Amino acid sequence: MHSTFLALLWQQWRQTRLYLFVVLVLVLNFLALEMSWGGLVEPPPPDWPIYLQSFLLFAFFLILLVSHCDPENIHPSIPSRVFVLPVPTYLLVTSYFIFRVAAVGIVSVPIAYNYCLLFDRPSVMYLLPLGAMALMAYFQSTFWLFARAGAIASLIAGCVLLCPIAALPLSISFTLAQHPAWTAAGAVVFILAAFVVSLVAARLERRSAWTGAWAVISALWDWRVGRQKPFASAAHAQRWFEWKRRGKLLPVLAAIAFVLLRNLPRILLPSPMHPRIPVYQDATFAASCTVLAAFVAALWFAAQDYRERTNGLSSFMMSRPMSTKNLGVARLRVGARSILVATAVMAVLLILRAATSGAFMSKILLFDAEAWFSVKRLAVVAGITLTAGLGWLALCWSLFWFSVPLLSGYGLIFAFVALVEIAITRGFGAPPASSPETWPLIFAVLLPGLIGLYTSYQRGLVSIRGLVCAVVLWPIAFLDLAALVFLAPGLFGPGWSTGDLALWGALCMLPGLAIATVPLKMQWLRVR
Amino acid sequence: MRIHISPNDGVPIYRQIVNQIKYLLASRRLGPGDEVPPIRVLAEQLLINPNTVARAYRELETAGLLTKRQGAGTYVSDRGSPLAHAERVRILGERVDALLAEAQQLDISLEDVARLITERNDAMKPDENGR
Amino acid sequence: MSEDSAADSERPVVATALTRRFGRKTVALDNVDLEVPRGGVFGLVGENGAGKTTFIKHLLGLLKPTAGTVRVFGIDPIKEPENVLAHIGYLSEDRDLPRWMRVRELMLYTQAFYPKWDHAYAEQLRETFDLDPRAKLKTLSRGQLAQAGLLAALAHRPDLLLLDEPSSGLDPVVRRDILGAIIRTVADEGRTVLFSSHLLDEVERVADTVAMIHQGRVVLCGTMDNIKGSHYRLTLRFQEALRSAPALLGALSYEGSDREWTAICDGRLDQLKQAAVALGADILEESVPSLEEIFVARVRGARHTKAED
Repeated sequence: MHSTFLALLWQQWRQTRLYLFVVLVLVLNFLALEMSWGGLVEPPPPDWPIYLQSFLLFAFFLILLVSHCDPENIHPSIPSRVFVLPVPTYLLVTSYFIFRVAAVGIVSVPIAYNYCLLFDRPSVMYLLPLGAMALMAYFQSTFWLFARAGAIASLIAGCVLLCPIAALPLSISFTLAQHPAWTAAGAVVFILAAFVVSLVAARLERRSAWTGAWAVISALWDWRVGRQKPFASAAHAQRWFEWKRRGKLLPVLAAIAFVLLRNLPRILLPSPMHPRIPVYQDATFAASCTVLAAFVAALWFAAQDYRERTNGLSSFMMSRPMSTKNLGVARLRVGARSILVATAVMAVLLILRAATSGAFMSKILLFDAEAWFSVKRLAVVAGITLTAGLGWLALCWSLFWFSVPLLSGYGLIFAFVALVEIAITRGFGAPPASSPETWPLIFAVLLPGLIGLYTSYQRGLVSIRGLVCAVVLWPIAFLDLAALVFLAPGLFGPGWSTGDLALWGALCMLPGLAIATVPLKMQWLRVR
Repeated sequence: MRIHISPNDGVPIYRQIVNQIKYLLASRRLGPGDEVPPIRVLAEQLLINPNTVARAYRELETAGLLTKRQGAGTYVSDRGSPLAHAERVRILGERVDALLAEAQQLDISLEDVARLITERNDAMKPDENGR
Repeated sequence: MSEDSAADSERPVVATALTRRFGRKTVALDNVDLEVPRGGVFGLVGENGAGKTTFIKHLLGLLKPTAGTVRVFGIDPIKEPENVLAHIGYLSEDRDLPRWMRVRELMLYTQAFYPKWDHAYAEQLRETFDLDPRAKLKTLSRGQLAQAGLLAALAHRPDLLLLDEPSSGLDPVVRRDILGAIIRTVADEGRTVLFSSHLLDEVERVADTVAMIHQGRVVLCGTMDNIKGSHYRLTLRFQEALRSAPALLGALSYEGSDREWTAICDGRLDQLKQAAVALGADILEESVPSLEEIFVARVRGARHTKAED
């Protein structure tokens, strides 16, 4: 039994070691960031919501990283693992749990430690790893129980329904942060419960006694299929194809990210909080959320089902009698639609959340001069968010389609997350830093990209064209990103001028240049 | 109309079709005026190239065994007793050759073979009347 | 030149000195000269990795030739992909269909791209193949997936049907469907089928013209009659036992031992007979080899020559 278990663990390790390596690199990056921060920013006012939401953001991305952004890696489909069949179910489930949940916990410890040191918050040490492990356990169990699509649905439903409701009773005197033992016990209980659920579900699935809760729901969709009408044109058909495949992803991700990461602090923490915090949080988060989601969605846009093993485009796509330009246009249009829908979803959720906190709502309705949050600024932020999101979507999409490997993609995500962190902390009045101190920062952000490029070159995944594009686009992306972040505090402070807005807007538009070159890139990809 | 072909026979496929149709004609399973399946249909049925079927039909037409009627399909021609007879004899001759070779192998004398033929013919007679 | 007149007047496929290299070492296609005549079935035969799929990808405009040209209906597939692809129905080797689509969605989606789509015919095909319109492609078996792909390729009555290993891994029932589809396509005037396969008995039944590719080069190309007419299977008996295969001029490969040897030969029968007599052998039997035997003989022969080099 021992050797079988070790064999299963080894299989897990082989599947995910690349991503654990990525996480290690991120940790190194974080250390580097910490070094650059050390002399720049004085500790901002101690406010739990900001830091916890940042920690949870990290945890979220850690989980994604360890699980390779692919639900199938969280939920192993048993029938395909023929060689595993003689193994008892509990061994299988245990190995997955132990490896993934423990891996997430272990990996998040160094990050928690750094935060702990930086901001002098000892509770973070256990809260972050436990929270990350609990999240991972939740993912595992829902995927085992509901199968892929059902798990996503349950995730959204849980977040949308439960979190705002839980936010209502703001006067919670009992907080988990103040009772570390309770928090730890609660997390352990949660993980054990998730493990038991996974075990039961995996066992049922193995005996084919369980088709997943989603199967029942999707059966209801079947009647729709018979009533579908023919498409008006080839362009319509292609847009439907893109929307159906990945276009809905961005709104869904935006919703999950927003609801999950904005509302969990409210459950765990006491009130009252600093009155300006929610306003800042919402504004910056709404702006960064769309762009962030654009990154992840772009990763999935560039996912395997468009690519052959040789990193070209799938023959199904490319044997459509449609010009390459039109194929690219269809995809871009759907990407734009995604961004619009994602922004709309987040606007709705913002309003929903505002409705649950009376003080916030009154500020909006009364147009208090003190309140930062005016309609005009809201419109401006929304506009910039939209264009930035679209531009970044195009940039990331074109980057990833040029065989720039996932490692670089993750590196880019991390870079953005780290810089958003800086923006949030700097938002409290620290001036942007001068260049010499930021060199370690720049290097720390470029490092994952360089490692990624090197490893893909080794594996023969990168063509010369891809390399050229990556080398050219990566610095542009980074510089734009950095400028975006360093100027952002000015946007939300009192001394914000039209000039600032113009410059920031222009920088957001810079990645939009990628849109113009998309047909050319696609042509390069189509014909090798 | 039951035709079987095997691509690995060594005999070209069109020739197999020609032979089998000739055999069907000779054994009266296809009579004068009967329709043979259109090229397309036979090709699909046998899973072979339509051109092969077309070639077989052409050869049979040249031999006078089939006629094509405009727009109505291909039919067995009404004429041709002498040709059919010659063909019949030739086909039978091949069978006799095979029979004699086998008999030699099994070490059965010619008289025994002839006696066997007569015996079998007598046994078959009542069935033939009902043909 | 309008699309329709192009399809009417030009030959479906013309490849001239087509060469394709991957990286510096791999030569996938080496100076390939092929012409596919209208209205027939063209069989492309070769080992795994010989270059069949690479060739077909050139026809679709997915690969650019390193040297040489490819023209489909007179048009360069790289310069005008929509024009070319509108006349082609394609079934890829790995049945590369999006697994999340349902059968009916696949039909509607493909219909939008081809103006010549015949809805009644598509429905008839779907019923013949017994495909549930609401079923997702990922729930279909391998054979049904091939049938779905074939449906999408056939229903718009393409002028050129391109099938890349259509029968690989399929049960005999589905294989019959595919062969039937090929025959029906060709029975319609002017439509051409090009299919690659290593199931040579199928190629033998159905192909008019055959091209054999070995390691990127065309080793044999001609009509089925010519090929079968120029190859012979000779059984020779020698006076004395031979330890190794006899060296008969024109023979591609040998089988046998001691005194009796069977050779697959290429050339004129009288010359072969003379050569055999010159070696002191009696010809016991002569017959026409199957396409599979010819193919194996050629490939083995090429391998032996390579080994000797």
